Amino acid sequence: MMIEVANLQKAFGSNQVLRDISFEVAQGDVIAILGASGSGKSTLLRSLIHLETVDGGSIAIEGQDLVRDGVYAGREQIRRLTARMGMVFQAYNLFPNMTVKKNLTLPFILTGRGSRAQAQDRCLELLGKVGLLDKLNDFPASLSGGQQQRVAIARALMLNPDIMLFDEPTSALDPQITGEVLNTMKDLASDHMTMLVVTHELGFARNVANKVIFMHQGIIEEAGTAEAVFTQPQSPVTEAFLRL
Amino acid sequence: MDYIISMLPMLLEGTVTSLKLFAFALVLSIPLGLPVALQLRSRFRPLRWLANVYVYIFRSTPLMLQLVIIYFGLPRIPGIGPYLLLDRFHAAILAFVLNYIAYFAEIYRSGLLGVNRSQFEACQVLGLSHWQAQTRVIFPQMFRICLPSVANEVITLLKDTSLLYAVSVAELIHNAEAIVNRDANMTALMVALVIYMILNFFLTVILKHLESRFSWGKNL
Repeated sequence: MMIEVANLQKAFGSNQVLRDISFEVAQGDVIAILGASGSGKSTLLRSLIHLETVDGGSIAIEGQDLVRDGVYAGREQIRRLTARMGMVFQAYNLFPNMTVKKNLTLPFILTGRGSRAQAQDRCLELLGKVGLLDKLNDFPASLSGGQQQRVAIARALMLNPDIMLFDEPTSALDPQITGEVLNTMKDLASDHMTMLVVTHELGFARNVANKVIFMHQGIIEEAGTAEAVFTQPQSPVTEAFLRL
Repeated sequence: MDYIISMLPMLLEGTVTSLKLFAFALVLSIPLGLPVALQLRSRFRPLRWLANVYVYIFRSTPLMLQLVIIYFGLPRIPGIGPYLLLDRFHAAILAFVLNYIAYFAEIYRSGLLGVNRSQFEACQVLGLSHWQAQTRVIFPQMFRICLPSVANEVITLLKDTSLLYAVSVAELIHNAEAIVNRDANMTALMVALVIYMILNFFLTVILKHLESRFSWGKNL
């Protein structure tokens, strides 16, 4: 299994955000994580890449523990495991002080993935893939939201991750331009990238994801193939959410 | 006109002294404000407390008094006093640097508050070390946010060099006053005023240029 999550617990103060989360992710899975605001889906995603520290439970990446029964692995192991994941944020989080090119190449070079020339080649290849080669020397501030998010996806791909995490990647975008970002993600899915996508885009979840996890008040209310969850939801809560 | 030209050598000599102090104070206090700003936000309470006391002392007392105390006061401390005797110019540099570090530290702190926390998260998921994140991502953005406030202080610093008057260093105002007293004529002070305006004109142009240089594609 690519990712195994068992009995994950997380509270912010007295607010229990994750109650008892368990699921597995296989190589090539595209999993849509759905649920209302505050259901814990973003916290779950952020816990996988160690942006949040969980209180209990286990996360393993290809059999190697990131955290086991609430006890975290050593710093080096955490670094090595989280380096296998790329993350895309709702607010893009590009570095505004760098050009698009520098946004892509700097992490590649600083983390010792390869030479400047290799960084440059890979940068051109990935920008071509997301259709933004002409923005190479632009600063993020001069790009549209959709373009910034595609750059952010390319930046995450620079480091050659095995798993891509998306935290509401289209929620900050105008409805007219969510399509360009969703198409980029669709391309990624057809390249068999393992993806976990927290989203409100039911269309994307239904058409691109092979599995759906529906969260409600810190637990997984329902999980299954996209087909099953959308056509025959078992829980009335899921059904009510999907009918919205 | 001939009168003005006749006083220029003395005024320009004073101007050079003022600019020297300005340059030393600036080059030292701009970078040294950063470590103090970081201590102001330190998680280690005693360090944070110490930095706050430092900033409090130097911001809440007049620079002129600090200057006088460093020059006249330090050498009178029993025991170590004799080792703290500085010549006027160096005492002035010390006072200015200590004072301006306090101001720059507060300005940088405000800049650090202005950098979005999510930038740290982006650095983290991209595998950057804390140091790499600070130097490549956070500090440049902090500096950009601070630039207008820093520019303000830089211009104030140039004018503050006239405080050297208090310890009788022959800077611009000191020399202008000498001419005024010698000739019983105010013209020298007017010329000094024009010199300040000319210098600050160039400073303003440079600082504006810096701002647009660091605009990163944003319309200012």
